[in-house]
Amino acid sequence: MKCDEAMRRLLEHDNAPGYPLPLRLHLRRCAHCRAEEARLRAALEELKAVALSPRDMDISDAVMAGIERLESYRRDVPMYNWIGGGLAILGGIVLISFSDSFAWLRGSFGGDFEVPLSIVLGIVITLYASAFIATHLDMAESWMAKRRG
Amino acid sequence: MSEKGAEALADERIVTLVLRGRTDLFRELVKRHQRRVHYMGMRFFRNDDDARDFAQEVFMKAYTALGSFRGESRFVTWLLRIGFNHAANRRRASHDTAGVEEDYPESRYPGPEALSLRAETAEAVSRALASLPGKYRICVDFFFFMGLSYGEISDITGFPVNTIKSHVFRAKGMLRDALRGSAAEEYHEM
Ligand SMILES: [Zn+2]
Repeated sequence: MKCDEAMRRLLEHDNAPGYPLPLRLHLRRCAHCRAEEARLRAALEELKAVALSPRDMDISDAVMAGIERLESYRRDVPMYNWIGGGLAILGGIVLISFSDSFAWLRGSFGGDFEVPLSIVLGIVITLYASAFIATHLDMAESWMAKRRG
Repeated sequence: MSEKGAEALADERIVTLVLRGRTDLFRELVKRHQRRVHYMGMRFFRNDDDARDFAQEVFMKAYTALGSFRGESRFVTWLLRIGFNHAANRRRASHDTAGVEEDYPESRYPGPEALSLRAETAEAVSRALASLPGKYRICVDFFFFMGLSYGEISDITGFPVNTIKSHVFRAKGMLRDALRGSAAEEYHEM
């Protein structure tokens, strides 16, 4: 290997320990390239070793507090409350037909009350479902990740 | 296992434990990688307050998205990719420009000059970085200062490996020439 080729390989080298064999052999034989290699390696080591950011900086407390807020926000509404709330909405929809509300509604609005009633119930269910999904996105994500993997 | 015991664990193992409910162990991941994420923040936002806010946001994002960590790359690569995208979005939002690709900051923080580097190294690195098109500057920065590999930098930034390689090649060449020059001077002074 010529010196030019050795230099090219040296500059191409990735951030990983160990040079390819031909380069190692050349460096063993050629004092000139060996000196260049030593200077370059020392400079690169120096760059990696300099303090990137203050050594004493520590944001771990702030991050953990943020995570705690996330978690307690979710804990505010435990799963059984979500299920309970959902069942209450469903139960209400089923039970409404057994109560005398229908008769009252028919009395007040005539026969066409079913359309607005369905719209109202539809909106309630949609709001409930979106609130649930929005607060459980990460759970859905990890669940899907587990299924994929 | 205590938070102390976590020091011996690999990042990827800690991720698994956090996902199983050991939320407290996430602190170890923050402690391990906060300086790199903060450094990335300094590169993009140029001041310590913004860089700290940025780093916190990145870790919160990583925590929320932890379930999607596939283990295909190192955790730190995955984390820095979240950081890179977040920085690009933040800059885009605040500048209303096309973002990081066009205007990667000119600043030389941490300023190799200030980093107790030998003068010729500092000078050469500054010049090498300044000579690069803005969007590739961060690749060389990641290679020189963070010790990341071509593949990892490509993973994080989305630039092709060969492009990164050629820019690092040029920057390293400038560094080598500068060192060669200073070695010759020393020789003449002797
Ligand atoms: Zn040679």
